[in-house]
Amino acid sequence: MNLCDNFRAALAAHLESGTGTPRELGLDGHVATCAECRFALENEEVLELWLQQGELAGGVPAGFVARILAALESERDLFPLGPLLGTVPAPNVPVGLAQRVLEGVRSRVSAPAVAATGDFDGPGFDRPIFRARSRAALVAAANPAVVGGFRRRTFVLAAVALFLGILTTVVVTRGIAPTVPVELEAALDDPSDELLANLDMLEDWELLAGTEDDVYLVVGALDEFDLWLLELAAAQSDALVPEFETTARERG
Amino acid sequence: MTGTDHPTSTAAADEGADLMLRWRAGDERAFERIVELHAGPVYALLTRFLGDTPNREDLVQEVFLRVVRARDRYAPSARFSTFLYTIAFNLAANERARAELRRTASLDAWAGGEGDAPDGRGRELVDPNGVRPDSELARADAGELVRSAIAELPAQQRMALILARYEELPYSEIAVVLGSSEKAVKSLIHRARESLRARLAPLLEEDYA
Repeated sequence: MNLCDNFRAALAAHLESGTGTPRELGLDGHVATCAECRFALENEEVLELWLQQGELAGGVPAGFVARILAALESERDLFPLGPLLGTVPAPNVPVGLAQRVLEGVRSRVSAPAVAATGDFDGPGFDRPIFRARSRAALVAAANPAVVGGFRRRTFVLAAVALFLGILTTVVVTRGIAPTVPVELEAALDDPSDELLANLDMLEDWELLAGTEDDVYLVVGALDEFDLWLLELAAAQSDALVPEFETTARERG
Repeated sequence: MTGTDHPTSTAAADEGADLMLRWRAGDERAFERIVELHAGPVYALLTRFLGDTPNREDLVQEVFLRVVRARDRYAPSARFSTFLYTIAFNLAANERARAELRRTASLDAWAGGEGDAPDGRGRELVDPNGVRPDSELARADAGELVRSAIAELPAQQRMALILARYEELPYSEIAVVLGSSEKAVKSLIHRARESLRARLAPLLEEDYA
Protein backbone atom coordinates (compact mmCIF):
# COMPACT_ATOMS: atom_id res chain seq x y z
CA MET A 1 0.00 0.00 0.00
CA ASN A 2 1.21 3.46 -0.79
CA LEU A 3 0.78 6.54 1.39
CA CYS A 4 -2.57 7.38 -0.15
CA ASP A 5 -3.90 3.91 0.53
CA ASN A 6 -2.66 4.05 4.10
CA PHE A 7 -4.26 7.37 4.63
CA ARG A 8 -7.60 6.39 3.13
CA ALA A 9 -7.66 3.19 5.12
CA ALA A 10 -6.93 5.04 8.33
CA LEU A 11 -9.59 7.58 7.54
CA ALA A 12 -12.19 4.96 6.72
CA ALA A 13 -11.35 3.03 9.87
CA HIS A 14 -11.70 6.14 11.92
CA LEU A 15 -15.07 6.92 10.43
CA GLU A 16 -16.42 3.40 10.67
CA SER A 17 -15.18 2.39 14.06
CA GLY A 18 -13.78 5.44 15.76
CA THR A 19 -10.16 4.33 15.69
CA GLY A 20 -7.39 6.88 15.75
CA THR A 21 -7.66 9.78 13.36
CA PRO A 22 -5.11 10.10 10.55
CA ARG A 23 -3.45 12.75 12.63
CA GLU A 24 -3.24 10.52 15.65
CA LEU A 25 -1.83 7.81 13.45
CA GLY A 26 0.84 10.11 12.14
CA LEU A 27 -0.54 10.27 8.62
CA ASP A 28 -1.61 13.90 8.63
CA GLY A 29 1.65 15.02 7.10
CA HIS A 30 0.68 13.25 3.91
CA VAL A 31 -2.19 15.61 3.22
CA ALA A 32 0.23 18.48 3.00
CA THR A 33 1.51 17.08 -0.27
CA CYS A 34 -1.51 15.17 -1.57
CA ALA A 35 -4.48 17.17 -2.75
CA GLU A 36 -6.74 14.17 -3.10
CA CYS A 37 -6.19 12.92 0.41
CA ARG A 38 -6.50 16.42 1.70
CA PHE A 39 -9.87 16.62 0.04
CA ALA A 40 -10.86 13.31 1.58
CA LEU A 41 -9.88 14.64 4.96
CA GLU A 42 -11.93 17.76 4.37
CA ASN A 43 -14.90 15.60 3.60
CA GLU A 44 -14.31 13.76 6.82
CA GLU A 45 -14.53 17.07 8.59
CA VAL A 46 -17.78 17.82 6.85
CA LEU A 47 -19.14 14.44 7.72
CA GLU A 48 -18.10 14.90 11.30
CA LEU A 49 -19.93 18.17 11.32
CA TRP A 50 -23.08 16.53 10.02
CA LEU A 51 -22.83 13.91 12.67
CA GLN A 52 -22.38 16.53 15.35
CA GLN A 53 -25.32 18.49 14.11
CA GLY A 54 -27.54 15.49 14.47
CA GLU A 55 -28.48 15.26 10.85
CA LEU A 56 -27.60 11.61 11.00
CA ALA A 57 -29.17 11.00 14.37
CA GLY A 58 -30.29 7.51 15.10
CA GLY A 59 -27.06 5.76 14.34
CA VAL A 60 -25.06 5.14 11.22
CA PRO A 61 -26.19 2.15 9.22
CA ALA A 62 -23.64 -0.29 7.85
CA GLY A 63 -21.95 0.98 4.75
CA PHE A 64 -23.45 4.41 5.11
CA VAL A 65 -20.14 6.11 5.61
CA ALA A 66 -18.72 4.43 2.56
CA ARG A 67 -21.65 5.65 0.50
CA ILE A 68 -21.24 9.15 1.85
CA LEU A 69 -17.57 9.13 0.98
CA ALA A 70 -18.34 7.80 -2.46
CA ALA A 71 -20.85 10.55 -2.95
CA LEU A 72 -18.37 13.11 -1.80
CA GLU A 73 -15.73 11.71 -4.10
CA SER A 74 -18.21 11.99 -6.92
CA GLU A 75 -18.96 15.52 -5.88
CA ARG A 76 -15.28 16.27 -5.97
CA ASP A 77 -15.17 15.22 -9.57
CA LEU A 78 -17.87 17.66 -10.44
CA PHE A 79 -16.74 20.42 -8.14
CA PRO A 80 -12.99 20.29 -7.69
CA LEU A 81 -12.98 23.14 -5.26
CA GLY A 82 -9.57 22.41 -3.85
CA PRO A 83 -7.65 22.84 -7.10
CA LEU A 84 -9.84 25.78 -8.01
CA LEU A 85 -8.94 27.58 -4.81
CA GLY A 86 -5.35 26.98 -5.73
CA THR A 87 -5.77 29.09 -8.84
CA VAL A 88 -5.86 32.25 -6.77
CA PRO A 89 -2.37 33.70 -6.98
CA ALA A 90 -0.50 34.55 -3.83
CA PRO A 91 -0.63 38.28 -3.11
CA ASN A 92 2.45 40.25 -4.02
CA VAL A 93 4.04 41.85 -1.01
CA PRO A 94 5.47 45.27 -1.91
CA VAL A 95 9.20 45.75 -1.63
CA GLY A 96 10.35 47.47 1.55
CA LEU A 97 7.06 46.86 3.34
CA ALA A 98 8.63 45.76 6.64
CA GLN A 99 10.92 48.77 6.81
CA ARG A 100 8.10 51.20 6.09
CA VAL A 101 5.87 49.54 8.63
CA LEU A 102 8.62 49.66 11.23
CA GLU A 103 9.28 53.34 10.61
CA GLY A 104 5.58 54.12 10.68
CA VAL A 105 5.05 52.30 13.95
CA ARG A 106 8.03 54.01 15.54
CA SER A 107 6.89 57.45 14.48
CA ARG A 108 3.43 56.83 15.86
CA VAL A 109 4.72 55.43 19.11
CA SER A 110 7.01 58.41 19.69
CA ALA A 111 4.44 61.01 18.67
CA PRO A 112 2.88 61.40 22.15
CA ALA A 113 6.28 62.25 23.62
CA VAL A 114 6.82 64.92 20.99
CA ALA A 115 3.39 66.35 21.62
CA ALA A 116 3.89 66.34 25.36
CA THR A 117 7.24 68.06 25.37
CA GLY A 118 7.23 70.18 22.27
CA ASP A 119 10.88 69.33 22.03
CA PHE A 120 11.19 68.10 18.51
CA ASP A 121 14.95 68.31 18.57
CA GLY A 122 15.42 66.94 22.03
CA PRO A 123 16.88 63.63 23.01
CA GLY A 124 15.01 60.41 23.47
CA PHE A 125 13.47 59.72 20.11
CA ASP A 126 15.20 56.45 19.58
CA ARG A 127 15.28 53.49 21.89
CA PRO A 128 14.08 54.89 25.21
CA ILE A 129 10.87 56.21 23.72
CA PHE A 130 10.33 53.09 21.74
CA ARG A 131 10.57 51.05 24.90
CA ALA A 132 8.26 53.28 26.88
CA ARG A 133 4.93 51.69 27.62
CA SER A 134 2.88 54.61 28.87
CA ARG A 135 2.39 58.26 28.17
CA ALA A 136 4.17 59.21 31.36
CA ALA A 137 7.06 56.95 30.47
CA LEU A 138 7.19 58.43 27.00
CA VAL A 139 7.35 61.94 28.40
CA ALA A 140 10.02 60.99 30.88
CA ALA A 141 12.00 59.20 28.21
CA ALA A 142 11.83 62.16 25.89
CA ASN A 143 13.34 64.65 28.34
CA PRO A 144 13.15 63.77 31.99
CA ALA A 145 14.83 66.92 33.34
CA VAL A 146 12.81 69.73 31.87
CA VAL A 147 9.45 68.38 30.78
CA GLY A 148 7.33 69.95 33.50
CA GLY A 149 9.25 73.21 33.75
CA PHE A 150 9.41 73.60 30.03
CA ARG A 151 5.71 73.46 29.64
CA ARG A 152 4.94 75.82 32.53
CA ARG A 153 7.52 78.32 31.36
CA THR A 154 6.12 78.24 27.88
CA PHE A 155 2.64 79.05 29.10
CA VAL A 156 3.82 81.82 31.43
CA LEU A 157 5.95 83.45 28.76
CA ALA A 158 3.16 83.26 26.26
CA ALA A 159 0.67 84.83 28.69
CA VAL A 160 3.06 87.66 29.63
CA ALA A 161 3.85 88.35 25.99
CA LEU A 162 0.17 88.49 25.14
CA PHE A 163 -0.60 90.87 28.00
CA LEU A 164 2.28 93.17 27.12
CA GLY A 165 1.24 93.17 23.50
CA ILE A 166 -2.30 94.20 24.30
CA LEU A 167 -1.13 96.88 26.75
CA THR A 168 1.34 98.33 24.27
CA THR A 169 -1.25 98.41 21.54
CA VAL A 170 -3.73 100.28 23.72
CA VAL A 171 -1.21 102.81 24.95
CA VAL A 172 0.30 103.50 21.54
CA THR A 173 -3.05 103.72 19.83
CA ARG A 174 -4.46 106.17 22.34
CA GLY A 175 -1.32 108.28 22.19
CA ILE A 176 -1.36 108.67 18.43
CA ALA A 177 -5.06 109.13 17.82
CA PRO A 178 -7.16 110.73 20.61
CA THR A 179 -10.51 109.16 20.89
CA VAL A 180 -13.39 111.27 19.63
CA PRO A 181 -15.97 111.75 22.38
CA VAL A 182 -19.01 109.71 21.51
CA GLU A 183 -21.42 112.58 22.18
CA LEU A 184 -19.62 114.77 19.66
CA GLU A 185 -19.39 112.37 16.81
CA ALA A 186 -22.86 113.14 15.52
CA ALA A 187 -22.14 116.87 15.40
CA LEU A 188 -19.35 116.39 12.89
CA ASP A 189 -21.97 116.09 10.20
CA ASP A 190 -23.39 119.53 10.97
CA PRO A 191 -20.75 122.02 12.17
CA SER A 192 -21.83 125.53 13.12
CA ASP A 193 -21.17 128.58 10.93
CA GLU A 194 -18.92 130.09 13.57
CA LEU A 195 -16.77 127.01 13.65
CA LEU A 196 -16.44 126.93 9.89
CA ALA A 197 -15.50 130.62 9.89
CA ASN A 198 -12.84 130.10 12.52
CA LEU A 199 -11.42 127.09 10.66
CA ASP A 200 -11.31 129.14 7.46
CA MET A 201 -9.51 131.87 9.29
CA LEU A 202 -6.98 129.43 10.64
CA GLU A 203 -6.32 128.13 7.17
CA ASP A 204 -6.06 131.66 5.71
CA TRP A 205 -3.54 132.69 8.30
CA GLU A 206 -1.63 129.50 7.81
CA LEU A 207 -1.81 128.88 11.49
CA LEU A 208 -2.05 125.19 10.86
CA ALA A 209 1.43 125.44 9.44
CA GLY A 210 2.59 127.48 12.41
CA THR A 211 3.62 130.62 10.47
CA GLU A 212 1.78 133.25 12.50
CA ASP A 213 2.36 134.35 16.07
CA ASP A 214 -0.74 136.34 17.04
CA VAL A 215 -4.19 134.91 16.68
CA TYR A 216 -7.57 136.10 17.91
CA LEU A 217 -10.50 133.79 17.62
CA VAL A 218 -14.15 134.52 17.96
CA VAL A 219 -15.12 131.99 20.54
CA GLY A 220 -18.23 133.44 22.03
CA ALA A 221 -20.60 131.55 19.78
CA LEU A 222 -18.75 128.24 19.83
CA ASP A 223 -20.22 125.29 21.60
CA GLU A 224 -18.31 122.47 23.24
CA PHE A 225 -17.98 120.56 20.01
CA ASP A 226 -16.57 123.53 18.15
CA LEU A 227 -14.03 124.09 20.87
CA TRP A 228 -12.98 120.50 20.70
CA LEU A 229 -12.35 120.75 16.96
CA LEU A 230 -10.39 123.91 17.45
CA GLU A 231 -8.34 122.15 20.04
CA LEU A 232 -7.52 119.54 17.45
CA ALA A 233 -6.54 122.25 15.01
CA ALA A 234 -4.44 123.99 17.64
CA ALA A 235 -2.53 120.80 18.19
CA GLN A 236 -1.29 121.24 14.63
CA SER A 237 0.12 124.71 15.35
CA ASP A 238 2.38 125.72 18.16
CA ALA A 239 1.51 129.38 17.52
CA LEU A 240 -2.16 128.86 18.16
CA VAL A 241 -1.91 126.96 21.41
CA PRO A 242 -1.06 129.83 23.80
CA GLU A 243 -3.75 132.12 22.48
CA PHE A 244 -6.32 129.39 22.41
CA GLU A 245 -5.53 128.35 25.92
CA THR A 246 -5.85 131.96 27.06
CA THR A 247 -9.17 132.32 25.39
CA ALA A 248 -10.38 129.07 26.77
CA ARG A 249 -9.41 130.11 30.29
CA GLU A 250 -11.21 133.41 29.84
CA ARG A 251 -14.33 131.59 28.77
CA GLY A 252 -14.10 129.15 31.58
CA MET B 1 -5.03 21.40 4.68
CA THR B 2 -7.91 21.61 7.04
CA GLY B 3 -6.69 22.11 10.45
CA THR B 4 -5.26 18.74 11.10
CA ASP B 5 -1.67 19.74 11.22
CA HIS B 6 0.56 22.70 11.08
CA PRO B 7 4.22 22.94 10.22
CA THR B 8 5.09 24.92 13.32
CA SER B 9 2.52 23.82 15.79
CA THR B 10 4.82 23.47 18.77
CA ALA B 11 5.57 26.35 21.04
CA ALA B 12 9.27 25.73 20.70
CA ALA B 13 9.06 26.35 16.97
CA ASP B 14 7.07 29.55 17.38
CA GLU B 15 9.73 32.09 16.61
CA GLY B 16 7.25 34.94 16.87
CA ALA B 17 6.43 34.09 20.47
CA ASP B 18 10.09 33.83 21.32
CA LEU B 19 10.76 37.20 19.74
CA MET B 20 7.90 38.76 21.68
CA LEU B 21 9.37 37.52 24.93
CA ARG B 22 12.77 38.82 24.01
CA TRP B 23 11.27 42.16 23.12
CA ARG B 24 9.47 42.37 26.44
CA ALA B 25 12.80 41.70 28.09
CA GLY B 26 14.28 44.75 26.38
CA ASP B 27 15.67 43.41 23.14
CA GLU B 28 14.61 46.10 20.68
CA ARG B 29 15.99 44.20 17.76
CA ALA B 30 13.47 41.45 18.44
CA PHE B 31 10.58 43.71 17.47
CA GLU B 32 12.31 44.64 14.24
CA ARG B 33 12.65 40.96 13.51
CA ILE B 34 8.96 40.40 14.27
CA VAL B 35 8.02 43.03 11.71
CA GLU B 36 10.46 41.64 9.18
CA LEU B 37 9.04 38.15 9.56
CA HIS B 38 5.36 38.90 9.74
CA ALA B 39 4.66 42.10 7.80
CA GLY B 40 4.51 40.20 4.53
CA PRO B 41 2.17 37.44 5.75
CA VAL B 42 -0.12 39.98 7.38
CA TYR B 43 -0.17 41.99 4.18
CA ALA B 44 -1.00 38.85 2.21
CA LEU B 45 -3.76 37.94 4.63
CA LEU B 46 -5.28 41.40 4.41
CA THR B 47 -5.03 41.28 0.63
CA ARG B 48 -6.83 37.98 0.49
CA PHE B 49 -9.49 39.22 2.87
CA LEU B 50 -10.01 42.77 1.62
CA GLY B 51 -8.87 42.53 -1.97
CA ASP B 52 -6.72 45.20 -3.57
CA THR B 53 -7.80 48.02 -1.31
CA PRO B 54 -5.32 50.90 -1.29
CA ASN B 55 -4.88 51.14 2.48
CA ARG B 56 -3.60 47.65 3.18
CA GLU B 57 -0.16 48.91 4.09
CA ASP B 58 -1.66 51.31 6.59
CA LEU B 59 -3.59 48.44 8.10
CA VAL B 60 -0.41 46.40 8.40
CA GLN B 61 1.14 49.28 10.27
CA GLU B 62 -1.94 49.46 12.49
CA VAL B 63 -1.64 45.75 13.24
CA PHE B 64 1.91 46.15 14.48
CA LEU B 65 1.07 49.30 16.37
CA ARG B 66 -1.45 47.25 18.30
CA VAL B 67 1.20 44.64 18.88
CA VAL B 68 3.31 47.37 20.46
CA ARG B 69 0.44 48.46 22.66
CA ALA B 70 -0.40 44.88 23.63
CA ARG B 71 3.14 43.83 24.38
CA ASP B 72 2.56 43.41 28.09
CA ARG B 73 -0.67 41.51 27.56
CA TYR B 74 0.70 39.01 25.10
CA ALA B 75 0.32 35.45 26.37
CA PRO B 76 2.96 33.03 25.09
CA SER B 77 0.44 30.21 25.42
CA ALA B 78 -1.06 31.34 22.15
CA ARG B 79 0.85 31.04 18.93
CA PHE B 80 2.16 34.40 17.84
CA SER B 81 0.62 34.06 14.39
CA THR B 82 -2.74 33.43 16.05
CA PHE B 83 -2.29 36.51 18.16
CA LEU B 84 -1.30 38.52 15.10
CA TYR B 85 -4.08 37.21 12.88
CA THR B 86 -6.63 37.97 15.58
CA ILE B 87 -5.60 41.60 15.50
CA ALA B 88 -5.54 41.60 11.71
CA PHE B 89 -8.97 40.04 11.45
CA ASN B 90 -10.54 42.55 13.81
CA LEU B 91 -9.02 45.43 11.89
CA ALA B 92 -9.93 43.95 8.54
CA ALA B 93 -13.47 43.19 9.62
CA ASN B 94 -13.89 46.78 10.75
CA GLU B 95 -12.42 47.99 7.48
CA ARG B 96 -14.76 45.79 5.52
CA ALA B 97 -17.73 47.02 7.55
CA ARG B 98 -16.83 50.57 6.69
CA ALA B 99 -16.45 49.66 3.05
CA GLU B 100 -19.82 47.96 3.11
CA LEU B 101 -21.41 51.14 4.35
CA ARG B 102 -20.00 52.94 1.36
CA ARG B 103 -21.32 50.46 -1.11
CA THR B 104 -24.60 51.25 -2.74
CA ALA B 105 -25.24 47.73 -3.92
CA SER B 106 -24.77 45.11 -1.26
CA LEU B 107 -25.78 41.71 -0.14
CA ASP B 108 -27.01 43.40 3.00
CA ALA B 109 -30.48 43.18 1.54
CA TRP B 110 -30.40 39.96 3.45
CA ALA B 111 -30.43 41.19 6.98
CA GLY B 112 -29.49 37.90 8.49
CA GLY B 113 -25.75 38.50 8.45
CA GLU B 114 -23.92 35.39 7.39
CA GLY B 115 -26.74 33.00 8.06
CA ASP B 116 -29.21 31.53 5.68
CA ALA B 117 -32.44 33.19 4.77
CA PRO B 118 -35.32 32.89 7.18
CA ASP B 119 -36.93 30.28 5.01
CA GLY B 120 -33.91 28.08 5.39
CA ARG B 121 -32.60 28.43 1.88
CA GLY B 122 -28.99 29.20 1.22
CA ARG B 123 -27.96 32.74 0.43
CA GLU B 124 -28.64 33.66 -3.13
CA LEU B 125 -26.27 35.41 -5.43
CA VAL B 126 -27.66 38.90 -5.76
CA ASP B 127 -24.54 41.01 -5.96
CA PRO B 128 -24.32 42.55 -9.42
CA ASN B 129 -20.55 42.70 -9.07
CA GLY B 130 -20.23 39.08 -8.09
CA VAL B 131 -19.34 36.08 -10.18
CA ARG B 132 -21.52 35.73 -13.23
CA PRO B 133 -22.03 32.71 -15.41
CA ASP B 134 -21.68 32.08 -19.09
CA SER B 135 -19.84 34.55 -21.22
CA GLU B 136 -18.29 36.51 -18.37
CA LEU B 137 -16.88 33.40 -16.83
CA ALA B 138 -15.47 32.35 -20.13
CA ARG B 139 -13.66 35.63 -20.54
CA ALA B 140 -12.35 36.13 -17.09
CA ASP B 141 -9.37 34.55 -15.44
CA ALA B 142 -10.28 31.62 -13.21
CA GLY B 143 -8.15 32.82 -10.34
CA GLU B 144 -9.77 36.21 -10.42
CA LEU B 145 -13.21 34.64 -10.43
CA VAL B 146 -12.39 32.48 -7.45
CA ARG B 147 -11.02 35.49 -5.66
CA SER B 148 -14.19 37.42 -6.42
CA ALA B 149 -16.30 34.57 -5.17
CA ILE B 150 -14.30 34.42 -1.94
CA ALA B 151 -14.62 38.17 -1.58
CA GLU B 152 -18.39 37.86 -1.58
CA LEU B 153 -18.43 35.47 1.35
CA PRO B 154 -19.48 36.83 4.73
CA ALA B 155 -16.53 38.06 6.77
CA GLN B 156 -16.19 35.15 9.16
CA GLN B 157 -16.67 32.52 6.49
CA ARG B 158 -14.11 34.23 4.31
CA MET B 159 -11.52 34.60 7.02
CA ALA B 160 -12.04 31.02 8.17
CA LEU B 161 -11.57 29.75 4.65
CA ILE B 162 -8.50 31.91 4.04
CA LEU B 163 -6.85 30.87 7.28
CA ALA B 164 -7.55 27.21 6.65
CA ARG B 165 -6.71 27.08 2.96
CA TYR B 166 -4.00 29.64 2.46
CA GLU B 167 -2.50 30.18 5.89
CA GLU B 168 -2.89 26.52 6.85
CA LEU B 169 -3.97 27.24 10.39
CA PRO B 170 -5.61 24.43 12.34
CA TYR B 171 -9.23 24.83 13.29
CA SER B 172 -8.31 25.36 16.91
CA GLU B 173 -6.30 28.46 16.03
CA ILE B 174 -8.85 29.72 13.56
CA ALA B 175 -11.36 29.51 16.37
CA VAL B 176 -9.12 31.73 18.50
CA VAL B 177 -8.72 34.24 15.69
CA LEU B 178 -12.45 34.42 15.10
CA GLY B 179 -13.34 34.30 18.77
CA SER B 180 -15.38 31.21 18.16
CA SER B 181 -15.37 27.45 18.73
CA GLU B 182 -13.82 24.75 16.61
CA LYS B 183 -17.24 23.40 15.80
CA ALA B 184 -18.36 26.81 14.63
CA VAL B 185 -15.23 27.10 12.51
CA LYS B 186 -16.00 23.81 10.82
CA SER B 187 -19.49 25.04 10.14
CA LEU B 188 -18.18 28.31 8.74
CA ILE B 189 -15.78 26.55 6.40
CA HIS B 190 -18.40 24.09 5.29
CA ARG B 191 -20.82 26.87 4.48
CA ALA B 192 -18.10 28.82 2.75
CA ARG B 193 -17.26 25.80 0.66
CA GLU B 194 -20.88 25.27 -0.27
CA SER B 195 -21.29 28.90 -1.22
CA LEU B 196 -18.22 28.78 -3.39
CA ARG B 197 -19.41 25.66 -5.11
CA ALA B 198 -22.68 27.34 -5.90
CA ARG B 199 -21.02 30.50 -7.09
CA LEU B 200 -18.43 28.77 -9.17
CA ALA B 201 -20.67 26.04 -10.51
CA PRO B 202 -20.84 27.47 -14.03
CA LEU B 203 -17.08 27.62 -14.19
CA LEU B 204 -16.71 24.13 -12.80
CA GLU B 205 -19.25 22.67 -15.16
CA GLU B 206 -17.61 24.38 -18.07
CA ASP B 207 -14.15 23.09 -17.25
CA TYR B 208 -14.85 19.70 -15.81
CA ALA B 209 -18.24 18.43 -16.86
